[in-house]
Amino acid sequence: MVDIKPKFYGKYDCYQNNVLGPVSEYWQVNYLPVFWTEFNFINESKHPDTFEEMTFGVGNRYDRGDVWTDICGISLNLCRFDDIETFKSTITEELDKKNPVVATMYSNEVPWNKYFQIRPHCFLICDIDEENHELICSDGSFHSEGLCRIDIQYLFDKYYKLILLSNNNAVGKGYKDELAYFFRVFRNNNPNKTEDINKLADHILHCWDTDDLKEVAKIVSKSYFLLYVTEVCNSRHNFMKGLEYFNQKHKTELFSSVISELAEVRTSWDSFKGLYVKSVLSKKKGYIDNVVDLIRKIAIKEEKISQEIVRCCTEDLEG
Amino acid sequence: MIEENNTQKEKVLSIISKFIEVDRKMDFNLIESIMFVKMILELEETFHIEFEDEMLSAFKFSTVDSFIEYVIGKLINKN
Repeated sequence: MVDIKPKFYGKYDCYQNNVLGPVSEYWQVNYLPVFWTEFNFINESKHPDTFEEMTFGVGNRYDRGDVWTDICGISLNLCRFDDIETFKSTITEELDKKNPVVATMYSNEVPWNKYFQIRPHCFLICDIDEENHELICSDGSFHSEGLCRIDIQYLFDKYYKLILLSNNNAVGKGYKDELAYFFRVFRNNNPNKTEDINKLADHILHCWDTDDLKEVAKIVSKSYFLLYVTEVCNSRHNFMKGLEYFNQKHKTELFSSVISELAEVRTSWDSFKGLYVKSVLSKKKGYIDNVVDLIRKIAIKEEKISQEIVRCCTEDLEG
Repeated sequence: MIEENNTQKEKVLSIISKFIEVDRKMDFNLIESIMFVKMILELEETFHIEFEDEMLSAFKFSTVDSFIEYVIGKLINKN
């Protein structure tokens, strides 16, 4: 058995909430460097006519697994098995080594999920109940009250990947090396981020005219649009935590001014979300105009913050 | 004046308590955004006030008390 209890972290997505946070705490590793990947924005919407057709967010942060490995020392091995015996024996072997196993499947197929959106989801397998053919799982995002159970055959039928984890006890990097690493991660962000944020403003204006606003108000509590905005807002909060970690670890003020700018930008994303809800519930065009103004201001602010980060890192690394 | 303020405070509190269980020192960031905005809309309608756009974030209020102070400030300015 792996001794991990589900926990709800508040501002984390399911991967952060169910994997990064609890596994790092289980192995007593600080996971905040993984948040260096969070200051991104990608807008994948193509001519949407409704708010729910929009697809945008922080993007697929594939490099967060790399950061978790390179800086925090936890390695990941993605695998998929076509026969249930290998699936089950692999899980059992990992649990015997006291390694938790990550299972991934769609959220609507998770038996204990009581939320609306259908999206990729992950949780931890912590134990096996051979007698009842069940796995005992920790899913703080969907069920923080206690461990959950899932039938082994059912999980095998529905899962799309297992992630095997191991702790390699990372050797700490020095200031310059860690800064260079952070800078490399930061530069992987979408180069068209500002244009993508401004595109979101254009789409919102267009959808206000083309979407059925009564319907938008009716489904606001299960809206994907709002879910995406919440993820972006949370990512700014988490990025701030990642920079605070760097400052504290290396006893530097390097990112101090950036951190206070980020606090403002995080609040602006949250105000944007509130203002959007207000405009939808009250159906007043004036509010949506303010939403669009705010998002354009956020694009400018984020661009300035990015430039400041580039300046800080470049000067320090070259100095 | 003090009595009037207390009455208004009670009114504000009764609206807030319709949306959340009020522990006045609680962290306001825990309130879900839709609930937060619905509460603001009802306060705006009841008291004929308008929140500034940037105040539509729960991050702006660390506690319920600070939120009540903001609403009372709006009411005083209006009068």
